[in-house]
Amino acid sequence: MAGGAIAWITGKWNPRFSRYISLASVITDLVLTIGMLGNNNSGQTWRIEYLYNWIPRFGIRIHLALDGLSLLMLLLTFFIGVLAILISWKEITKNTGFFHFNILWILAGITGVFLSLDLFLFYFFWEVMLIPMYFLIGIWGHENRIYASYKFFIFTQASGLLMFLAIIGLYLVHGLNTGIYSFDYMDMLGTYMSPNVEMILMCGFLAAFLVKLPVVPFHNWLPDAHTEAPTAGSLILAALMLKTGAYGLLRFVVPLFPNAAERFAPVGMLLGIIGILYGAKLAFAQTDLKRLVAYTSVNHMGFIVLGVFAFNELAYQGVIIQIIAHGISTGALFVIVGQLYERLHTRDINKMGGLWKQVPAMGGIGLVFVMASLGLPGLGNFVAEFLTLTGTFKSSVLFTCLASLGLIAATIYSIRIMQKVFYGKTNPGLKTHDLTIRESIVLGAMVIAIFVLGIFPQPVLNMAKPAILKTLHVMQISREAGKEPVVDVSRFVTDPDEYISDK
Amino acid sequence: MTKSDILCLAPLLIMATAPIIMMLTITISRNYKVIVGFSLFMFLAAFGSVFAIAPYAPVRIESLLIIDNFAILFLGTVICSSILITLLSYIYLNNHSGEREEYFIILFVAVLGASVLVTANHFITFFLGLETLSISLYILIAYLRHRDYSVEAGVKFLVIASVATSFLLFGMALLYAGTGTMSFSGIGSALETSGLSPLLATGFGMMLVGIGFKLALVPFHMWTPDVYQGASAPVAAFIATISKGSVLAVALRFFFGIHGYQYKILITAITILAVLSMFTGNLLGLRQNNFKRLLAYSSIAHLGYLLITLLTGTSYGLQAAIFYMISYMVTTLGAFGIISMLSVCESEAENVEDLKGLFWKNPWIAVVLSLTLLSLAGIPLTAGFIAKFYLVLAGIRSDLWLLVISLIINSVISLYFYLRVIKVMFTPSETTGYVNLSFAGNLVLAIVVIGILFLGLLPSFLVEIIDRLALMN
Repeated sequence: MAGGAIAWITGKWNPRFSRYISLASVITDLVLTIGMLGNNNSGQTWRIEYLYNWIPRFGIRIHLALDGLSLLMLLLTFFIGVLAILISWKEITKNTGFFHFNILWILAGITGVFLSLDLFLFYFFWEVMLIPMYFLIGIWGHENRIYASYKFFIFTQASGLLMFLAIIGLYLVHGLNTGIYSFDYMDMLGTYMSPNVEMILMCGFLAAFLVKLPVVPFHNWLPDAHTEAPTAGSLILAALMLKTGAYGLLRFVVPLFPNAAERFAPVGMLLGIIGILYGAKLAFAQTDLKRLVAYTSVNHMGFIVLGVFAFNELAYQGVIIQIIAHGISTGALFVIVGQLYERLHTRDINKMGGLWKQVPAMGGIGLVFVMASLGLPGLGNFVAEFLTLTGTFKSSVLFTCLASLGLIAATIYSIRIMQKVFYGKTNPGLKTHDLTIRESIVLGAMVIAIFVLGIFPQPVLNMAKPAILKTLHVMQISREAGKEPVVDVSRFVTDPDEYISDK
Repeated sequence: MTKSDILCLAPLLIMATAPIIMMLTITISRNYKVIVGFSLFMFLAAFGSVFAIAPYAPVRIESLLIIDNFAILFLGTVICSSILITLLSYIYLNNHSGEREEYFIILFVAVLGASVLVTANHFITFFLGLETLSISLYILIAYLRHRDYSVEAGVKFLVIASVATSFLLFGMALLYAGTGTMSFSGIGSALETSGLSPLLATGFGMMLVGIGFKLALVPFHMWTPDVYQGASAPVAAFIATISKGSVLAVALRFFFGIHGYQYKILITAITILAVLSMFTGNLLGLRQNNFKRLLAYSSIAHLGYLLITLLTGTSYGLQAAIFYMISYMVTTLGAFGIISMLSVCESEAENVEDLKGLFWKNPWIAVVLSLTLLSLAGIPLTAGFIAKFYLVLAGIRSDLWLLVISLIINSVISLYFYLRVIKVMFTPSETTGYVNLSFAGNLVLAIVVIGILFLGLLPSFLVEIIDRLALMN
């Protein structure tokens, strides 16, 4: 899969062909992944597993494995990857070789994140995807790119380091407990920790994932990074990078720290609600179209956080559909904004208006995605939000009601996009043309995807089901075990507290 | 001293004979290339002899020197770095007119001093090694007299290093007065019986000041930026890597020898020095426009990180120190190497602005420099990441939470200025032109890249070696 990395070398020295090479390599990845769909030996937990002892001294292994959840994420990754390369076909004119090198490396990093089952390796890939993204924003971005790229990098890096510290902490706690020093996810599951230690370690992980998602107090980097990045960058950021945070919550935080996660749940859900409402409000207040779309991400990610901390199957199904649907719908909105910018050279919503007459196709597609974003039945996001809310209702009625308010807010800002950009009075100064064939392919594929997801979500749900059940199973076990610790902890129970508190 | 003892000193002896032969050669006839070739050859020979003596370790030579695995690893690293520095100096001095052969003689003497330091097990050898190293450095720093700041830097270093040395000597004398012995292990056992009396504590304090000066720890760091700026790039590389590395090695040996991590006062003092160095180094680095000064501040911070290993008191700490030192040396040599390659002798490419648009002029150099900077920042794929991981792990194992957390905070701060340099390289510049590299230059860069990526991607090779050896005896 990292075979994409080879392509860039050739791509780099022959900038002319780099587009074709990178496109070809990502499509190959996509085809490979689709091929794996058929390969379902249901007896095993993991569809494909790969192990290699990397640094045996520390129990670090290259442990890659694929289950339904990762497979879905990979499909999304490569789907978006192909689109990202297609949309920058014309937009990026300078240093194309290096540009595609960065895109492929980001994709490789994200792929790694979705596949690794070794925490060290996971962190490794987590960081690998940052640097090329930094370049992507910093070199090909818009006016304020330098500031945005720093902000992006330092936010994510700082939170990532906290996670790193937590990973090492977990590693040592586990090692002291069992005598086996290993970074392997499977080994670490069920590590016994005293509640305080568990909380502190979980906060380290949460820091990284919540910043990435982003959840409201940490969302500060997102509008800048999204707005200043080139279209492909925004697309990847919104559709893929934010999802690594959601994936991390599902895959790592909940199974590794079930008790702490449960204690944290009310706060987590509250943060989700704040994200939903606050994101919607800010989105409504923006005049920069790209910034507006960026804030809608904050709004949608709120649902994910809400669902993750509801701890039940329905909500988790909702979260997974939301991950995919948001990737497609918000991604598509960014693409449309990018295309408008290419034509009009402005992102100011007040300078647009009445574009429908000139670009009916784009307007039509825009309408589809705006509707998706506000959660119209028949489109993917509706399924996601409906499932999430139903799931949350079981855990907390109050939070569900508040979150539903968010749907109304989403309607308001979504309608505003349509109104300001495509309807209303025509601004006489604007001359533009409708979609080209390449652009139609990109958006068409996204439209099909969002409809399929909205009408037939069942295959996706089936694929993700084992992973969800496993996560919940872990929760269940720990809930029962929480009453009486299964591991003999007498020799350790005093240790970890001192361990964490700075003597 | 037996015959086999002398054999075990082979690396040191080779390095001691080389300058004499070179001096004699110069009196007969001056030939730049011959001298460079000869020094490379002798360094390689010394490097080979390190491997040859490795199976015999540990060997004690009287109470003065000790050749154990720790010393051998450091010796290898020091000599390896010297080879790279010789190559860099060759490139750097190539278009310099005037007498440049003696430079390599002094370089040899300096490396000899450093090698004595890493094998020292006694105050006498400690002091001798340190002085051999420092005195050669005065000359090396001021060697290219017509450069701006060169003499100033040399004099500054002379004055400050002498002050540091006198502190160190005073401290040693106090310890000798208190314990009646000058060997590290002797002091250790005397301490165990008598405890840390005020006299001894003062002695340690004095020594700490002296070592702090040499390692450029805050608040004894003032000379570093000026000297780095004034010295030519290869010499600055020497100070940053070999000189600091060997002083750290002897400090580690001394500190572990006396079990310094058991005494509260020493722990507190070193913790303060470490935290101060980390923060000051990185914060002052933020606003630097001079690339060499920036690297100076970066080295202050890195030495602050390395101090963590002193306090661990475990073999983990020693392993982390060695791994960190090796990856830091490779990386720093890369960064300084690129400065020397981009420099024309009289004016160095030392401002960050000089790097502008480098990526579009010569992508290869820019990529290597980015790699070194990312490694200094500790980003995955590079040696610096694994090294930092090792260090954090060792720190947490010994419950040094304060230090580990300030390391993490500082990693974030330092990212900012490393990224800034990278950013500049990718900014298109008005001037165009292609920077050409000589064969030697490409060789150095290739070694650096291989080193950084090898340690970053397949660290288990080195980790296993370090782990298998009983480091100190």
